[in-house]
Amino acid sequence: MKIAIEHNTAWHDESGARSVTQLLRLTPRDSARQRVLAWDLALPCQATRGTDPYGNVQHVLTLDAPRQDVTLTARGVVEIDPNAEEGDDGLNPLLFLRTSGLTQADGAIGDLADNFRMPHLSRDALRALMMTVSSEVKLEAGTFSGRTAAEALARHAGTCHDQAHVFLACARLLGVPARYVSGYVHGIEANRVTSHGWTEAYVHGRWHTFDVAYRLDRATTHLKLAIGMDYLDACPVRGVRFGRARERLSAHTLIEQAQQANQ
Amino acid sequence: MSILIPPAEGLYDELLLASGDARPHVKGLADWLRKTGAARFERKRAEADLLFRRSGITFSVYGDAEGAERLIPFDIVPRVIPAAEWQSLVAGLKQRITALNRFIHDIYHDHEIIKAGVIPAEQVFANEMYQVAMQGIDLHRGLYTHIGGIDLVRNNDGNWHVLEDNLRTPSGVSYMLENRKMMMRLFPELFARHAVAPVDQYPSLLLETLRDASPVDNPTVVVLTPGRYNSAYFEHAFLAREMGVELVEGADLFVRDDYVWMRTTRGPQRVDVIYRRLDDAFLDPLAFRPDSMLGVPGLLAAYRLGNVVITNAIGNGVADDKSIYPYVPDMVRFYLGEEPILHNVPTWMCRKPDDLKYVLDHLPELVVKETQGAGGYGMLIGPRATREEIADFRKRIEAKPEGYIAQPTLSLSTCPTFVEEGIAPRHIDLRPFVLTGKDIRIVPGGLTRVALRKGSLVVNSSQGGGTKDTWILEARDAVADR
Amino acid sequence: MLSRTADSLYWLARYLERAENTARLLEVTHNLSLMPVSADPAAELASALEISGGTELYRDLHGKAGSKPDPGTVLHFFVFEARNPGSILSCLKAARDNAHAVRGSLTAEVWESVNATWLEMSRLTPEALDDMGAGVFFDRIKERSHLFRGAAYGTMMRNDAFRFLRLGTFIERADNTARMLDFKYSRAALPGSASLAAEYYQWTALLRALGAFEAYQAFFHDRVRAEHVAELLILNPVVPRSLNACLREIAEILPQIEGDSGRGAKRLATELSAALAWGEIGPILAGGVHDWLNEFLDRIDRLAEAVHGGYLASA
Repeated sequence: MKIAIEHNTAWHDESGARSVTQLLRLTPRDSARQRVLAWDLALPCQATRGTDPYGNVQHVLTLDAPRQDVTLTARGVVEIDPNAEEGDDGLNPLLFLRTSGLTQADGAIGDLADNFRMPHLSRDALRALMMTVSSEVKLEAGTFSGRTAAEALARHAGTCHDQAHVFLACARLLGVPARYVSGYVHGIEANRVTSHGWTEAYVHGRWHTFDVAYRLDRATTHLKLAIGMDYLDACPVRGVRFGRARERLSAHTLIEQAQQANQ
Repeated sequence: MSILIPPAEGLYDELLLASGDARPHVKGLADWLRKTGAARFERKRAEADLLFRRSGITFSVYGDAEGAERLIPFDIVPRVIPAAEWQSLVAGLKQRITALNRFIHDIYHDHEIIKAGVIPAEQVFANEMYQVAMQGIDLHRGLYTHIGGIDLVRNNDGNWHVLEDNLRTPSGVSYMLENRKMMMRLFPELFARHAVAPVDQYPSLLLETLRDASPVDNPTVVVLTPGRYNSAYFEHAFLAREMGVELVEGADLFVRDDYVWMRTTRGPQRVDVIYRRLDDAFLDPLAFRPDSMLGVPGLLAAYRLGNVVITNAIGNGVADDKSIYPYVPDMVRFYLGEEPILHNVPTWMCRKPDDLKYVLDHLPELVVKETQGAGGYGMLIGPRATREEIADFRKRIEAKPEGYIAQPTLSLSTCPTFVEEGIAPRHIDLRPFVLTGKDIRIVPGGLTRVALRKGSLVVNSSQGGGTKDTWILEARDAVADR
Repeated sequence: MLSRTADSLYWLARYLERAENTARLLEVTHNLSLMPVSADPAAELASALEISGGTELYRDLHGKAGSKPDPGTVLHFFVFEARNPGSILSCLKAARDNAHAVRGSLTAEVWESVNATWLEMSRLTPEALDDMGAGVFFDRIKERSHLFRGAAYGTMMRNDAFRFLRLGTFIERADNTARMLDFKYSRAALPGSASLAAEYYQWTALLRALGAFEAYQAFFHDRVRAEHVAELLILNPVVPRSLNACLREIAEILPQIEGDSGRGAKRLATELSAALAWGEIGPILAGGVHDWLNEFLDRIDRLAEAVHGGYLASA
């Protein structure tokens, strides 16, 4: 199936910052599951394209004397094979046993994970873990909150990103390599494309999709943009701005709005 | 009457033999210590304090409201190493640092040592300090550790052991330099009588090493500090001044068009080499900790393109982690095909079932360390621990065996030290600094840390340690002494 | 030189100069408020608040509009108040922080003078200030400021570090002289404002505050008149706190700074300095001193902005 995407990220900045540096992961790659037929980024100024440590396509955008209103648009058409699973992307799965800032486990996450501890974890066991996370952390709509996995579990509620982080923290504790995926899904809720975050775990010698928010243990209409240890590694837009008076840095992740799309 | 107190039985003293006589290479020093009265030492120590304070060499606790600054105690009795012994240490250090550099290059490229089954893959790839960003990146000369600090101790049998490798941002070299200046000022007569190898060429060797790290002709070098509230700020400022390069903070640098620039009154200036004294996690808020106010956004991208050199490289932490330490002798054999000259302290890895069993059975005799901890906190010193502490640690080890290693309790060598009761033996260690550029350079000296409390084995300055001048005697002196 | 280093040096000097200026301002108003000829002591104190731009903050901290300021409270506000960024203590702290940040660019003597001043003054209590008397305290502040400038002049290499220090001093000083002159001028210009004697005290007090009383006598041999005071403080090239003298220094320092940056600042400084060097008092008086000074303050502001943009916040 073909999916057409138009993803606008807009922000309004009244900080009077002297310059803003943005890292964009808004360009999908070809893989066993997806083929990019057309893709275009409309940016307020020239950006340098590169590859980040996880192989994601990345653009570094530096805005001097930035305007108050900035819009980035990613637009394109991608063909997806809903029945295929991801192939091997050459990254060593063991890398995804490490923890990261947002997926640090605490006692409660340890207790949750312990329910699933066994010598060789199967895909079924991970599915059960996913269902448990999904019921322990009630899904809320919204943009990324900045919370850690431990904080999300303590609240018993969170966004798809939070749920993914809790799942990742548990899986890694159990010795299963697991990673964060950011991208889009089509048509799960109504007939439109939405920005989304889910996970992949490495079992039986390959990567398998676990989408906690939609309780799916395989990818369907998922279009992958980027992978990483957690949201911060993979999120579509990450930025830092330089304050005015004394170059105080304040990091912020931008509010994004995934808009509209049709086939 | 002499105030020189003889060493305790069963310990190796750097100055005195068990008989109470001086070791041959330090006879002159021992005589001088015996002849000189306590009052003169007291006076000299007060003078040193004053001089350190006046010249601003206070290893300061910045952040204090009044800017109060603290001196790390400086002991006026030097520790002396004879030429021949130093020569063999140097050979061992060069060998070890070469193997470690090869190892880091390997784990970010072809993984030969893992494929060969010498080190288990998960020890490397699942290590928190492993940086995916370094995979496949080719660094100039293949160098990762340009500045290494290797902590050595001498056991009571007189043999040297490596306690720890510091391959990230080893500090303390400013003490080595300042302690020497102070000694020469306080006791010039001692230097007239001993052929002490000079150390003051360190800053120029460091600069040469940093320049060697860049493929650029005549590169611009800067020292990157977390800022003046960092406890080692004095050293950052000191090294920048001695090398004649800028001391910058993250906000002084910016990335444009994938190059790194520094903001100066003459406009932006290109930066080629960053000698950073900042941990990996803080280097780039876009790549690592987003809350870091200390780093440079976009730095990692510029680095990966080879447009700037960062020393030491990113991702070295995996090689100086305590969980990797036990494998270093194997690295020497694997990469260099040589037997290691410097020995590790025998280490049990609790991740191995047999080792774990031995450790749990012998906790009261062992030192147990966390693999990813530094600074002497997550540590059990068996012989000093209470029954409760041991029971508590047992639980922690059982819960996460891969997080711990254990070593026998070493009896560090002692060196006479001027303390309240006189000149009494205190435990010491040694951190020589190894510079790697076109070739490997080691200044004859290092940082000697001393545990000032009687019987204590903890030399960290944060826990009551002091420092000493470290003398490496030149060969002709050793000959003359015979 | 790193922009951050230049910035800290520049602000170190500005803050110390500001502390000294505040002490000078207080000394004058304090003395005037104690004088028998002063019809309204509270008004003198209020004037100190206005010149320094602290009226609003003072009102927020110490009560209702319209209530008369109390001498002790005003003194405390200007000396100790941490919430007043212009208080002497706030300035000394800011100066010391900036000095600490660039300690490596300062000589030991300069650092010690700044650090010792802060350490001494930060230990001062209101009771101790009472004991020593405000006058002694003001002298002390001026003395410490002299010490700093002397140490800088006597021990620092004539490089950019020295130049940014001097730049800060003179920009702050020009700004302050213009403000103080403008304020006295607009008050004296009020119709039927005061007796001749009171006017005399007002103007001599200003001259003393700016260390220009003796210069006045040397140049004018006349009773103190407003227009002479204006001429002296605006155009005289040898009175150290005159606008002309300050701008001459600034215009001299800027081209000595290494590199080609700061063209805007150099141009503004040269223009302003020329206007003062070749200016005449007649047209200034004819056009109104207040208007002239306001325009001058605008231009100094723009110059400070240009220094900031050209050197201190490059790229």
